[in-house]
Amino acid sequence: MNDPSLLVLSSLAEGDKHGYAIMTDIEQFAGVRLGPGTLYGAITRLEERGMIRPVRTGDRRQPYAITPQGREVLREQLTALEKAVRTGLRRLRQA
Amino acid sequence: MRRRLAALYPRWWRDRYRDEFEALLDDAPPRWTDGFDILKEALPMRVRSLNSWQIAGGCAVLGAMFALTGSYALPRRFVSSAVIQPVGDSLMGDRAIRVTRQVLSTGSLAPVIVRNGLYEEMRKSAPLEDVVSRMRKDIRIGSVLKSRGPAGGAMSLSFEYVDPAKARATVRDLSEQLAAQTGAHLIDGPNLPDQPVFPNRRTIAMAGVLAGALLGMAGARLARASSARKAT
Repeated sequence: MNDPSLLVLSSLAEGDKHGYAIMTDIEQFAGVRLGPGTLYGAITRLEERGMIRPVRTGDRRQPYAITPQGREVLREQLTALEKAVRTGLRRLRQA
Repeated sequence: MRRRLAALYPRWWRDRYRDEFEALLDDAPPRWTDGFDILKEALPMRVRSLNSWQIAGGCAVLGAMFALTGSYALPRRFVSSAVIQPVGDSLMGDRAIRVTRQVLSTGSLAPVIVRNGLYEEMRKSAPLEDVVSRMRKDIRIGSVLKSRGPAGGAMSLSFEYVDPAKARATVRDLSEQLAAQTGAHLIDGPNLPDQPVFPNRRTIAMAGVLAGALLGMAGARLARASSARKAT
């Protein structure tokens, strides 16, 4: 899974959001501003793989929700990332 | 501008996401990088929605266009020819070889080069002997088959050069030398060529089509491999 997809899943883990809300949330918690093309590229791929789903709405702003499969993949990815971060930090302290 | 770029996405994507994507564009403050960001996603998606034959066909057309455009940057080369009718056996057997050697000798060609202003760029940097060697490669001397009617037993002489008028003047010059040595006379030409023999644009266009199609197929495979990597 690439970084934009991970960031989108992390954003939706908190609750349903539409595109612009996902964009601003990611900017706040990760300090990264995803462009509109990158964001919707990630949304397209995540929906194709069943990791997110659209939430019914009457608005043009389409909200998305993370699916159980998406949560599982996010947990696996973040756990692997956490392990890598811990190892890196420990080695930095030892050096 | 950003809305127009959204039209680059494939139809299935626009049918599914266009409204909400435009809602995002309405909400998000524009940045100068947005155009590139949309192109970066939309174009590979568009290419992936085509089949390999469509991609190869599009690239073949582009390849032909690039090749043809590039061919106009190549110097054109023209060939002027003449046919010389010998008197008796003046251009037969060993005598023909001896006369040909004489015409192609440095002593014969060097004055022709100077008189006709040939290879001016090369003469600025290379010794005359090298220029003469280059000219020999551009001269063709051969016999005309007897089956060609009244020219049977005659000799053909041609010269290839970037300037058609200089090509003709050179062939005339060489033919006159040949005639003076053997008593032969010109029976055809030298002609003023109106069509270049190089570059052959049909061959170049075909090469462009082939290269474009092959690159297109390879590009389609790479795009699919990249798509598969993103899926994992």
